[in-house]
Amino acid sequence: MRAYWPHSLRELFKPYLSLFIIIISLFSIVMIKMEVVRVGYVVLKESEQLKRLMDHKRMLALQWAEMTRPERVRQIAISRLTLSEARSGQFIQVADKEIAIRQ
Amino acid sequence: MKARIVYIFLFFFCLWAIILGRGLQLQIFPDQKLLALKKRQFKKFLILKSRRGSILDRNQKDLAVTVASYSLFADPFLIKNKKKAAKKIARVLGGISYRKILKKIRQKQKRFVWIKRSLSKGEADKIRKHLVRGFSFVEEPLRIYPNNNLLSQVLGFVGRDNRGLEGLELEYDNFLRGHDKRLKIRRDARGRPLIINGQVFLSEPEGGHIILTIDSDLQFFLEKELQETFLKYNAKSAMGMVLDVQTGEILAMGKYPGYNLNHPTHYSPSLRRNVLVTDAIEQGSTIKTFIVAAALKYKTAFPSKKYNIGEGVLKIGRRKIRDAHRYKKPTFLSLEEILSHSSNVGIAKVAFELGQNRVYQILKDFGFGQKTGIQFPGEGKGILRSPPWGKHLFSNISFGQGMTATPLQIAAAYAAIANGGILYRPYLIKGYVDPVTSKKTWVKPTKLRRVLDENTAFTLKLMLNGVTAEGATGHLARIEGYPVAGKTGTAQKVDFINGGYKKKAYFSSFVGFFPVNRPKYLVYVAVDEPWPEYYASTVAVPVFSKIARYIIRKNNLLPSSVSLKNLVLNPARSKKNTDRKRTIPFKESGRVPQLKGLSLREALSLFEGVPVRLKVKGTGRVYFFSPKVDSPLHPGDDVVLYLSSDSKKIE
Repeated sequence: MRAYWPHSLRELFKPYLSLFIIIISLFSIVMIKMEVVRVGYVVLKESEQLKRLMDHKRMLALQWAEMTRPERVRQIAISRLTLSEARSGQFIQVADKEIAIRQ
Repeated sequence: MKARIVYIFLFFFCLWAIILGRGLQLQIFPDQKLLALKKRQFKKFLILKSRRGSILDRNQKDLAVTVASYSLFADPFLIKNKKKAAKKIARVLGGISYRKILKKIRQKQKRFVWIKRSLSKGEADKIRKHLVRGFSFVEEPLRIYPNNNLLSQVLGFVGRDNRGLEGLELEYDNFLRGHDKRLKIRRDARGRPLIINGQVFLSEPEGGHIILTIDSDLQFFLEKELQETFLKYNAKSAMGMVLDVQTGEILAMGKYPGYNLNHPTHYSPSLRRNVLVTDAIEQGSTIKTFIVAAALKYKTAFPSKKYNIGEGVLKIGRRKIRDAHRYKKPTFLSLEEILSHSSNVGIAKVAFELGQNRVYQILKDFGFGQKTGIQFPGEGKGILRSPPWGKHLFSNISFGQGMTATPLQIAAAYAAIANGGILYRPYLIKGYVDPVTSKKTWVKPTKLRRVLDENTAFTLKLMLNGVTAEGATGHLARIEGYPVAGKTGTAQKVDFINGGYKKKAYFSSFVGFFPVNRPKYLVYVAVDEPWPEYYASTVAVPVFSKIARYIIRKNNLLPSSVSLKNLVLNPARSKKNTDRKRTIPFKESGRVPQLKGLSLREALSLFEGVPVRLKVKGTGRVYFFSPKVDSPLHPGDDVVLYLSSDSKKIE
């Protein structure tokens, strides 16, 4: 059976094989380093996005706190729901199935 | 020919080899100058500022938060057409005039001027679209207090540099601020950080969060009641506090008038001070309780022991001490009655019987003349001189003059009586949240010492319960079903300019706790210079009652005593309710149901999802409605409800 590589071609490339491997390795190192830098930029971009989302979350939490503050709830109860402050004697404290006390 | 090709090949090969060799030399054996340049250009220190931690109430509601804000600045050197730039920015910004901006950007010697600070993200994004060269934004933290005035004197505020200046913001500044992160990084040509060697991402460091013992709903109610009292009695101020007597936790603490935490510099420093902790004043009759405590502890008296108070006047040297109430003939009051009627003459006699050293000792034991140790800046310790005292000073001390104490000291001392004789350190911080791990650490109550044995404390509690009996000074503090104990105090205010006491200037206070059989809550209320009414029994006591009732409702405290007088039928078992349950839901029948007697909430819930236009007039319960009962209802119909609080109209 004839060999895939003619004997002459193998002999031709043998000296250059190691050089070829070295060059490929060096290129690979450079490519990997560049990839690391590129991924670093991606991570930086994602971290900026994370920061924006965290800030947005904080703003929402702040808005929630402002909307549920007791003064505002009371204002809405009085102005929009026409509720009024209960006076003494209007509360009935249910203490038990059978017992309730007017307060 | 072949040789020429070889020579050309060798020439270019050598050229490339030189270039490659030089590259290899620079990479492997760099020049020192180049190394230094590389270090300067690529290696930088990046400082990540820590975001200030939040302050939360006991239910984890935000009381103080830090958000990002954007401040607009300009570099006048880079702006070419200053007038045009100023006009454009003024138009977009709003709220700042063109001339003001122009004046700022005309300062040629400056490379940095603020245009407007603390803009929200939305505002910044809107302006960013119209920015010209020379203008830019810088992100700054902004501290916001979403509840505005609530708990203002306790929380305090921060300065422009986000450092605490007053209150808890100052006391816990280091913990809230956290630590800035300092990173050594490399930057590319555009100044962007190069993330190498496993530095995952540049996360923003945060300060720790603190959880307070304060209940913000209770705090709001307290401040609302203080405001009403302040306005009603034209007072100088009104203050109050609620404590858990079993632990020393402060559930609410406030003074009216307060100030808006988001604009602290618009108010005077006197409004920003937490006087409940910092200001020591003569508290008046609330001190009498501790003289009685000493009498019981050292067994010089018992509750029914009688003292001759004459006609309510006692001469000591050249001076006289007087009771608020005068008697037409010589009168004898028991120790219990001395407390419930707040007799100055009586308590002075009890004190004389005890002796100066014992009185001084009991006051020291209860924490007077020393700080409580609460973690709050500027705590006052009050004035309590050590004996020997002159006889007149001694008598004055027995009814709370001649010595000063802060409201916090009074509250803590009464809490010791309420819980059976143990003095706890009052505190505001319930827990801490670690900024890195988010782990919560809870603060435990601090027992300072035992001041009374349980039996003496129990006896004293019963005597203080007598203060709220019918005819006693604190009778307006009574709450049906919940026995209350407490003491009133109406102290004259010292005149620091002319000496002696001011005329028509009083400090009216009431401190009480409930329920007496198993005390949990203590409420302290004080009104500074109320007028024209000034007695604590009419000014401070009703405020205590309202706050105590709110606490009972909020926490659904079971009553300790029930009488036929205050008993009502459980509404859930009333016939009317039972009848209502048996009717066919009107959403099926399409007819107006019986609405008389319903509250607005009940009526609204009945009409939920029904496509009619509901109109409401008045407040209270429904006494009339239109259309009348059993009328057919069609989508889009108007239904009018007339409400009233008058029970006769409803029946």
